[in-house]
Amino acid sequence: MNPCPEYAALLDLYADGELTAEETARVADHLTRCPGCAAYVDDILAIRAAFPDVEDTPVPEDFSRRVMEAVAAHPRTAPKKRTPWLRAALPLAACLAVAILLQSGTLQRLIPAGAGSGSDAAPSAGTAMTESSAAADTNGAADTSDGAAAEESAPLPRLSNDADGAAPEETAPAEVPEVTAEKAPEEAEASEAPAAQDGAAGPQLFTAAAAPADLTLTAREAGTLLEGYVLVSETDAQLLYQLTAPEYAALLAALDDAGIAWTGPAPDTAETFLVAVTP
Amino acid sequence: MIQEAQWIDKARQGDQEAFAHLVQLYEKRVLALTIRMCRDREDAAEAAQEAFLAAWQGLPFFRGEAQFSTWLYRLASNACVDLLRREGRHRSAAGPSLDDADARLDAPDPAPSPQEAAERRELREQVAAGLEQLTPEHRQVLVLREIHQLSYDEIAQVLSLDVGTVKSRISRGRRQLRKILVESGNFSAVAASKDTGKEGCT
Repeated sequence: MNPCPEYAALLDLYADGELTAEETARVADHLTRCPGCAAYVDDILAIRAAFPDVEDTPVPEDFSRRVMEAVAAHPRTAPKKRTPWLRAALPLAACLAVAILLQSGTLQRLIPAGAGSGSDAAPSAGTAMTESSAAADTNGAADTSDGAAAEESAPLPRLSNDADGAAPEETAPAEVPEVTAEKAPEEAEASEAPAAQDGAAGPQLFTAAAAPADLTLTAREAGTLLEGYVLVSETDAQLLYQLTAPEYAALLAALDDAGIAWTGPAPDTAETFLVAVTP
Repeated sequence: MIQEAQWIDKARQGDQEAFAHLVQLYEKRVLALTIRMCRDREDAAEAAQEAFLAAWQGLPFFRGEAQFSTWLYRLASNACVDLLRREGRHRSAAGPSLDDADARLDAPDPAPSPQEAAERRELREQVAAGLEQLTPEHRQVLVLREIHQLSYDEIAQVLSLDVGTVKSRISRGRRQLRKILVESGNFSAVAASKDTGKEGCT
């Protein structure tokens, strides 16, 4: 006999202990009067009793030893934090760049007339340059030491020139949208490639230095998940971390645990992944 | 559980000896899952090893919001999916290749009499064979439910599904398995309800 339609949807939940006490009592009462539903539950329980046990699972000889050999051969990535001097160097580099621009008069040319007083303009430019500074840092830190990253951050205007040739594959800074303050986004996009190739003479101001992250999380979503991992760039707009594939897989699992939806590539699609954390 | 928590904490800090204890504690449970997802002993062992390696690498991310076992099963499930996808070894249409018979021979038999032992063994063989005929999605949820005894919420966490999908898959998987056993004709508990053409109550 088949279970009756009214209770069919509840029988698996009943057998699995997934009903409330009230629902459980209602189904149990029904089972005393309905042979079809009672037979289905009996079948579920009989099948359950005949399921293989975990203890029956064959374990390959020396399995745990082989796992531990693999663990020893793949030491956990040592958490690398940005060194204090580098934390100080980046804002200094940004300030220096702003000072150079101010001195050369470039910044004044870039700021539209009527944009306000100098006190308004300075933070705006500072933010933009910090972003470009960090983009340069990303460029360098991905495949070099922390120190190299700091050195690269100083000559800010050269980023768009360097991006074409010196870009490590993982970060692909050539793909970073480069939008000049003088151009509308559409125009900037259209002229991006020639600018990079020609080594456009003037310094460029980045207003939307979005990093090519594989996965982007808000700070609230990320919580403390990424603390202690390789920070490859840091701006007001985002922190960018580089994770190995196992680290990235574990991060995705942790996000799932926390019920946080994410959109990103599968862990087996690359050796390393860039994860951005935005405010 | 307290000791397990200590091992997790130490392993998170880099203690390989503590992690080795976790491997030994969970190896059968992880292999029970990967064997039935990969349906090949070598693939299952490879996926299980990858899952433990991912657990070791990812322990700093583990914040204890889910149980360690649930987290580990998810890594195992992901490792199986990755392995099958990477090597193009989708075997849903393949015949049984799992060495269940060997496993059963090695298994302790708690039945008090030879006749009961034989009946129990026969039921297990039928269920194991029936499981092999299910789709991977249905087999996966039933293994997590019946072998690992996870709740619907936990299965949803492991497989990154919503609970409604888990309910649906468990119900459909069971009905399919039951139908297979009914059609096999000699599963006594199911035989009592063989008259599948009638509703149970009117």
